[in-house]
Amino acid sequence: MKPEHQKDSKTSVNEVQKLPNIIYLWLGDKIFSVVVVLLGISIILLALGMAWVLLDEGGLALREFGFFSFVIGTTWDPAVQLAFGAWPFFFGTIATSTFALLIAFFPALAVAIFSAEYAPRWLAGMIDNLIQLIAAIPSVVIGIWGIFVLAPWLRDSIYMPVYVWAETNAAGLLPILGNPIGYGMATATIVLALMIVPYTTALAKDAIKSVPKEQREASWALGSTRWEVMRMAVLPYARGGIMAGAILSLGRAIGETMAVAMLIGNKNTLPFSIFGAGATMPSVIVNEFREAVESLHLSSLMAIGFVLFLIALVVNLTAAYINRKLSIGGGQIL
Amino acid sequence: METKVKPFRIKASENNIPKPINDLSKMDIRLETKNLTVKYGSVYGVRDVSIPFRNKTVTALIGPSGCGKTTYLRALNRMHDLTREAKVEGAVLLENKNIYDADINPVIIRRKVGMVFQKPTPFPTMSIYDNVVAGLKLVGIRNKGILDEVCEKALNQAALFDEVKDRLKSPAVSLSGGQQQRLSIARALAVEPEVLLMDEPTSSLDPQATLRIEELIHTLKKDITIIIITHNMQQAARVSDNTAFFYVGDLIEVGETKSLFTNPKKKQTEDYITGRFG
Repeated sequence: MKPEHQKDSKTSVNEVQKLPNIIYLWLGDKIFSVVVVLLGISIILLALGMAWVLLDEGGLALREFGFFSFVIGTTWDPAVQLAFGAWPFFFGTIATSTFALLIAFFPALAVAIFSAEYAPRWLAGMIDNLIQLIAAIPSVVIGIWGIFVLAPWLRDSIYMPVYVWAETNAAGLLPILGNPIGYGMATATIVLALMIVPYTTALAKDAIKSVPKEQREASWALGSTRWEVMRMAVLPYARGGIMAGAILSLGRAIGETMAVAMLIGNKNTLPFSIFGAGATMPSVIVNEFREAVESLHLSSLMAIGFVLFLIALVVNLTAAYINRKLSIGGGQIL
Repeated sequence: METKVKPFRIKASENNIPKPINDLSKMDIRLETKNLTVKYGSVYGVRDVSIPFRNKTVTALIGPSGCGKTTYLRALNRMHDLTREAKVEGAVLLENKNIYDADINPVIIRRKVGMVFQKPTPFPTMSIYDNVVAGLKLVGIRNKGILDEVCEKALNQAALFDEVKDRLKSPAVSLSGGQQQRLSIARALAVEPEVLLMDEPTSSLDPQATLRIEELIHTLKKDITIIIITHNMQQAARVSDNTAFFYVGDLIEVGETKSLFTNPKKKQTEDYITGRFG
């Protein structure tokens, strides 16, 4: 028997609606699931495929030297000895990107706090747009700016005065400071810092924005000043997202190639010095790939790519772990 | 537990008969609003509300959702300063001084007029102890002895101390919802406010926890002035001395709780408290 409300209506829903045919019902669903699953799997395959190619191509070098010895080997001589160790580049990468993050983190956090909490809406919008603009500048353009503007300026107003001061007052420091020519580790680090500020800022701002209104109000209601609200309620709540964002920015710094290759001076032998030339894993790959005629040389560059891949993996997993570990409730950004 | 309900009944003993609200001596008034209007853009939140709050009394704000109770309450400790759209007109006199005067720092006002929210709001990264003393640390008290003492006192006032005394250092979020709300109250009490604003403090709690909060309000009344929003009219009747009924942004009626509930002067009040709407 029909339910009461359908009794009098002339057309019931069942009469009006056309039942979809069996092909639509069964096959359509199947096709959709298969497409989605295939696309999902293809991403995983792509990542695994890249790792495999790097490992396969770098296999010659890794077999020749052994993975661990390759990573900590300090000699990189493609001309005479054909001995390849990645340590100078490993060290150069970690040193430049870590210091870049240390330089960038606090200013970026300050900008994020300012634009999320303090700035009037129009100014916050302007800051956001400019940050996105900086992030969108091609790194080769930043490299050119570094070569023609930043590096000469740093050389003349910082490196040279410091070097001259050290010459008379602290001669022991000179080997650590290195040649103040303007293109070297310090310049690369500063440019890296500039390049990751947009990422650190954007991710920190997302984390700050995700702090619930109730948390802020609870702190206001206790008689907090603006800064105290940040310190008591907002930053602790957002710390997971902020830290994870910083680590992700570190990942970007590690992988940055062009601007670094243009500014770091490119020197393949340790020791590196603060002002002096150095190299990173991406920079050595981009500099030597075209000229690598020996198969062992080419394979060594591929192996460096593989190590870089592993570092990127570790950095991303760390960021995800920190985000999960430190985040509260909705504070996650990943 | 049931026996403890008793104290809430308004007994006709000499010292707790609330004085009729309209013959107050000036001395007695702790907080007062005069023609208070709050607008969001061009929309009125509350319109032209004048209520005096006597020292050491509990005033309940009742009314259907969206009637402006919360808007009104938040005007009393300048929480609207944080909302860009909100505009407050009229005066809120705390001890005869308008808290909206240009020379008044809202931070100081919020230390004198504490607030407890609908949802418990413990700071999730802090321990129970740190939550309670958070407000004290703001005013620069670092002495461990004082902090310990105040923490214990505030937790006792909030009837939470016995449950948490062995784990003061554990995270505040490890507490149950009711305990978290009492923690929020303890945190508000630790800074010794003169007035405590409560925005539906029991709406997310079970009956047992609700009862404890109501007991607590009754105890706190001995020292401070409390203004509480509630959707539960039994609760208003149990805990408050005076009741104000709001409807679509207007104050319809304010008076002694007992007479407002038994003998409302306005038709709208009667309809609301007898459950005809809202």
